[in-house]
Order: sequence, then C-alpha cells, then structure tokens
Amino acid sequence: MNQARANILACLGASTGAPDLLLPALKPAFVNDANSLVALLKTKLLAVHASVDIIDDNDDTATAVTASVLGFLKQKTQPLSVTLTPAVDKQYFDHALLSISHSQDYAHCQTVVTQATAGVAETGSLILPSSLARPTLANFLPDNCIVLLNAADIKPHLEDALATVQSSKVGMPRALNIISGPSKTADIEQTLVYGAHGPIQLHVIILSHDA
Amino acid sequence: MSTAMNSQKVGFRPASQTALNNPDLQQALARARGGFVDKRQIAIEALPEFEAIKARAKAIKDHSLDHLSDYLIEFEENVTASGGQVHWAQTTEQANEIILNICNEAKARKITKGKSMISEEMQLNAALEQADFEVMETDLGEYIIQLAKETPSHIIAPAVHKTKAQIETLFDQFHAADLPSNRSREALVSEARLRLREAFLSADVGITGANFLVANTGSTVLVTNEGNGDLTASIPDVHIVTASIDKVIPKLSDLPTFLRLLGRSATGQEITTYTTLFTGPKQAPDEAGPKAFHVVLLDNGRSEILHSEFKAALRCIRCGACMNHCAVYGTVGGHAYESVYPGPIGQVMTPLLNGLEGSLDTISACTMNGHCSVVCPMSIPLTDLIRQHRINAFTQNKNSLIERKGLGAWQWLSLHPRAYCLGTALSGRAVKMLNAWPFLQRFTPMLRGWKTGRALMRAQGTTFQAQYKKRRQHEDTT
Repeated sequence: MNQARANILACLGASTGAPDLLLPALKPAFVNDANSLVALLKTKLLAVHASVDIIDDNDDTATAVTASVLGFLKQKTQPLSVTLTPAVDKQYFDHALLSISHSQDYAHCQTVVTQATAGVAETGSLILPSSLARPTLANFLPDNCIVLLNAADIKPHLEDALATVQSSKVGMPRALNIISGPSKTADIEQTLVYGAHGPIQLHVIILSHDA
Repeated sequence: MSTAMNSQKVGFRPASQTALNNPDLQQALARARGGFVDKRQIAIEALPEFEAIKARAKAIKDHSLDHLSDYLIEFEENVTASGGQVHWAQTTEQANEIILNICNEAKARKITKGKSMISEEMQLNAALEQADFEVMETDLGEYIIQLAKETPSHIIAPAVHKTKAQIETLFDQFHAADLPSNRSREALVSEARLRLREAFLSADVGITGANFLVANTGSTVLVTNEGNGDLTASIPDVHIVTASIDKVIPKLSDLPTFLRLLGRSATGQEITTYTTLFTGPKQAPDEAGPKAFHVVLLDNGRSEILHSEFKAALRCIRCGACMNHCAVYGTVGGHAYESVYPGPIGQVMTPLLNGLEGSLDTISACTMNGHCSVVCPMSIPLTDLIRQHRINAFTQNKNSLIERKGLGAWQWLSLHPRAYCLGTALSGRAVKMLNAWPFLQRFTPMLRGWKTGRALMRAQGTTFQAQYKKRRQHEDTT
C-alpha cells in the first residue's frame, strides 16, 4: 500500500519540516511540597474508589506493608495470599502471616502486588511501565491489585512523570500504564459499576521511608 | 459506508419520528442527559485553567494539522524504530484489506476488539466476519450492541440508548439459560466480565483504536475505564491499532494538555481509569506482549477535508460533549442520524464522509442554538460548520424545490424592508385570527408541522416594530 502512502502525503501537501511549536508550559496549579503531593495523590485516589495506606518513616516497613495488605484482604474478605511481581521487594512481606507466590499466571491469581515507578499527584495516577519485572497483565488480570509507591517518586504533574519515563535508560516501554483507580464501567444506564474487566479493587501503599 | 448499512436507512426525519415514539429510548435518553452535562460542569469548574488549556490544545492541534505530513512521517519512523509497522489506507476498503491480510498471515481465528470509531467507519466487524473470523467487542457498551446487532448510538457510550431491562433480556439470550430475573447491574457486569475473560485469553489478534498518536515516540494512546483495551492489546500475539491520520500530536509532552480536556469533557473525569501508551511489540527480555504491532492509518477523505472550510472539524478529540449538550441528540438519540458520528460533530462529519446529498435532513436538524460550539474543548465552531453545509447545499442546488423557493422568498423579504414589515404585520394578524376562531386552523395545512407536538403560538396582533414605534411616540409626548 505504498501507493496509498504516497497519495495521502501528496494530498496533505509537501513536507515543509515542521518548526518546533514553542508554547509556555501550562499545568494546573496546586501546592507542590512533598507532603502536599502525598496528600493530594491520596485524596484523588480515594475519590476514584481506590484505598490508600501511607507508611511513614517511623514504622518498620515490612511489618507495616504486611499489615496494610492483610487489612485490605480481610476487609474485602479475600484469601490471605498474594502474588508478587518481580518488581516488588520480597522483604516487605512477612511470610508467616501471608502466603506469597511468584507465579506469572496472572489470569489465575486473585491478588497481585506490584511496584509503581512513579505517581502523579495531579490526577491520582500510578505509573507502571511494562517490563520483565513489571508485566502489564499483572495490572489487569487479577481481581485485586495492590500497588506499592515510594513517596519520593510522586511527581506533581503528568508531564513530569512522562518525562521521567521518556528519559529513562530503557526509554518508552511496550506498554506504559497510567492507572487511576479500579476498573469501572457506566455502560449500563450511566451507573458506575466497579470491576468491568480489570481489578475490582485497587489498594495503594505509599512508602515514605528513605529507600 | 457499506451497502448493508445503507439498505436499512430510512432518513433522518422518519428515523427521528420513530425515536420520539419509542418509550424505552426516551427513558434511556432522559437518564443519560443530566448525568453527562452535570458531571462535565462540576469537573470544569474545579479547574480554573480550563480555558487556557483549551487554547493551548487548539494551538497544538492546529500546528499538527498544518504540518500533518511531517508528523505522520515522524510517527511512522518511530513506530518502525520500535519494531512496529505502519500501514496507510486511503479508503476504508483498503484499511479492511490490510487488517484481513494481517489476520490471515497470523493464521488467526479469534479476534478481540476495543472500542474504535475508525473501525465503525470501516465496518470492520462485518468485513472480518465475512472472512470467517470470530470477532468479539470487549468494551461493555460495544459488547451489548454487538449482541443486539446494532450500531453505537453515542461515540463514548455506545449502548446509551438501552435500558437495564433490555440489556438483561439480551444477556439471558446469550449468557446462560437459567439466570434469575431482575438481576442487579453488578450481576450483569460480572456475567459479561466472565464471558469476555474467555475471549481475551483465547484471542489470536487484538484490535484497538487510538485516542492520540504521539509523533516523537511512535506511541499510540488509548484511554478506557474498563481496562478492556489493555487486555485486548497485551494478550494476543498481534496488536493492530486503527487510527485516522488527524489523531497525531507532535510530542509526548503535548499529551497531558489533551488528556486534561478529554476526560472532563466526556464524562467529567479528571482522567480516565486507564491511559496506556503502546510503543512497538514486546522487546526482549520481556516475554509478555504481542510479537507484532501494526498501526493502520486511515485517511478516508480527511486529507481533502484538511484543505476545505471544514478543516477545524479535524481538531475533534471525540469526547462527545457536543452530543451530550445537543437538544436534538438528547431527544432523538444517536441512531436517527444513521451515521457513525451522531450529534453536532456528526452533522459536520457525515456529509464530508458520505456526501451532502444523503445528509440534507441531518444538517438542517437543529436551530443552531450554539451550545455544541460552546462546550467543544477543541473550540470547533460546530454551528458555523453546520451553517456552511447548509450554504453549500443551497449554492450547489441540492435542497428540494420547495425549500429553495421558501429560502428565495425569505431572501427577497429580507432585502425589502417595507414588504418585510407588511408581511410580519399581516401574519401577526392572521395568527391572532386563528387564535380567536380556531375552526379556521382547519384551512391552514402549512401549520400542520408546527402544530404536531406544540400549541399554536399566541399572537398579540401587532408586531414588535409597531409596538416599539408606539412606545417611542408615547415617551416623546410624556
């Protein structure tokens, strides 16, 4: 279909070498210090039906993460077992209290735990670039998705998060998932129902320790 | 448009008449109307920068359209560099042929599909089914209308015309035989989830649309709330993206500006649940993801629209705000337009895609109250473009003789103020007489259209101008 390409481009007009469009940056304004970013991200995530726990410096991370996961699973009456993606630090989990799996068969996994590379305070979003350690299907196939996020990785705006991914060593991943809440649909009479195709529950654990 | 769809067409007037007399549709439309409008309003009021962001988005899109060939070539280079392949199609037939070839080469049988208006333009499902592929729509709304063998009636809420009861009846037929009656919405969603999960996991090819194409990274951007687009794109061995050529934006850093407008204008969301950028097929050492990544770029007349007075319509990001705020769409629903694109953007696009002849009723189906132009996040002057179609229809002699004579008479009156004043004075008196002696209304067949569904206007008997004159005289004497 090279003829089609030639015809379309001919009709569009000769290439002139597009000049860079220089526009001043324009991002929604809000208070931008570290504490406010964590608070804003949490507010936005709660507004879209996700649950959020913040673990601060003083807590023992492993105890606190396990407690947060257990609390979430018990509240949702889910079995006390989770599957970790390779991106997750195993040491955060107390194997005595939680059954841990590393299976990559996410289609048959009830609850997954994965690690976001960044968060976006503006929109309450989690940034999950696909990779061997962070398979994109882990974000979509399990009923419950738990995402760990380091507070230091929370960016104010979407532009900041995208720039970080673009300039990273590996560049653009095959799938860059920007996730803001559990899966939902309003296709039946404009009424929201959670868990359309992806996770029914999204639980976010923000780690504010110095990693 | 294929002949299959054309053969069912009855025309906008009869179709809207049927829509008005359909109680289920009226119920569904009444429910939808408030939701979209109120949610958008709340979301926009919460973002003081909204107008400035609109201006920025318009500037970026105008720039992209002015240098479209450059950005399409840059996009193609970057898709190729990431291991994907770009295919160009001038017509919907060519686009279907490209996709059939890819599916045949992949020895595919089962295909899952995310929502794509371009694939609706192509009538892709029909083409695939005709070639014996098994196609499953995965957006819940699209899945519902696929089961019902209908077309979408809204660009972001394809099954907005269906009531829960209708959906339940449909699911009874296709899901299981012994389901309880009057199930909850949650139960219906969960049935569809189970059914579609099987489809996702066994698909050979996944086809999605694209909300944006990013030139400097070669990424296609897909927004959904359900997550169906990601399961469609990431499980099968082949991922095909269908997109029209106007979807390209220059840089990744331009994307947030558009995302801030899209969710808010469409559903009142700051951002949709899932926004995914797909760049190429899977890359070693990652084992997950498709082996092949294809982007089919469809022109379908857009390269010509670019050089016409309708260029601004190519800025559209398909949010649906214009139809959500349209009095006519809200009353007759999307199917009456008998086109892929209903509502105001449909009034503009349909004549461009399918020709002016078949769209004469659609382009004149509103009073141009201007609401659509005001709510459009891309500042498309929709009413001006609809008016331009009407002007073109008139100058190209496409309207009916009676319409042309009527417009001609109106033109003559407008150019002759005395005759105009006399005419309005006489018609005012005539209506007053009709009010006073209703039996006279039997002899006014030309008022029949007006009187179906409305009361005859009450005339005061004198014109505005006469009253104004009288008042001025009165003021002068006091």
